[in-house]
Amino acid sequence: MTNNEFKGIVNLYEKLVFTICFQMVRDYHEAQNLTQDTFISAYKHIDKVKTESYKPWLAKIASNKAKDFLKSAYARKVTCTEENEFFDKKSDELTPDEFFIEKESTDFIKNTIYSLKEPYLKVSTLFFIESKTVDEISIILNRPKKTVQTQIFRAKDILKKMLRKEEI
Amino acid sequence: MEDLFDKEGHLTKFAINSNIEGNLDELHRLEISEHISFCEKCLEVYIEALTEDKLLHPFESCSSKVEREIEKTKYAGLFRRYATVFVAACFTMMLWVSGIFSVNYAEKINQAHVSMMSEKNIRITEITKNFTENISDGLNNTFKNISLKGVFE
Repeated sequence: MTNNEFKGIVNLYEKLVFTICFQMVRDYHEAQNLTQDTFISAYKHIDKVKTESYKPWLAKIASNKAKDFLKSAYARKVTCTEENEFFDKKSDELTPDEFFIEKESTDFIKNTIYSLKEPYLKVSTLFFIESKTVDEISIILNRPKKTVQTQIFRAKDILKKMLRKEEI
Repeated sequence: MEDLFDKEGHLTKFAINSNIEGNLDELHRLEISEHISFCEKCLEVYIEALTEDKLLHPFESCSSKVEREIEKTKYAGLFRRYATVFVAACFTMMLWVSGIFSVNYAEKINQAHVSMMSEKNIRITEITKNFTENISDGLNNTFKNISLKGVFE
């Protein structure tokens, strides 16, 4: 593809790409940068794509660029959560009272997991309740592995906030 | 707030419209962008929802910036290619000057190798010979002093 031909494609789809980037990141300058990055990435592989697929293909690159930007911005804001030490104790070490409390708490946590909304409900059910691995969940739900990992991480954070709210 | 995802895990109309109108917080926008990155169906629905009247105009077109970046990348690629060829050519010249490509070079190496092996073989033979001679002399000296006279009478 010649430079002029690619310039034509940029002019044709620039508004679409910019719109997608802006709607995701809600920052004008960042959206412009991401639009530029989208077309630069697209240039490297555009010869392998059919003309009729340009629109969805460019839209996908744009949303991936926006996703990566949002992910890094979000990761900087969110801190790691710690495990509740009480639930690390083995059942046979617990007194009858503690065992009863643990069972009640486990049921409560399960119900809290079931109350989550998508995209966290299925991922949390498979991971926390059915003890599936990330690879298995990725295959079952047909989601990329990294997306599954991120969603599990976020689900833990949401669950922690919900459980803390209930304690209060 | 209404759900952003339906029971099958796909984006609802509410999610798409809210994203277009800018009514979602950062986390929800991240969730939507993550989903669109792997769900072709939702990506198609989202693109269709972006009708001409909803598309935004950037104040400044990125066309010329993209062109400049592409030119930079092209030149960088060319430079890397020529630099590799130059280094390979220099290396070949060095080997040529050292005579490694000459016809007799292989023969010389072979001869040196053969003579080195011959010297080694001679040395090993000498050492083995000395060792066996010493053992033989030792045994002779031992049995010289032993007399069997009168043992069988």
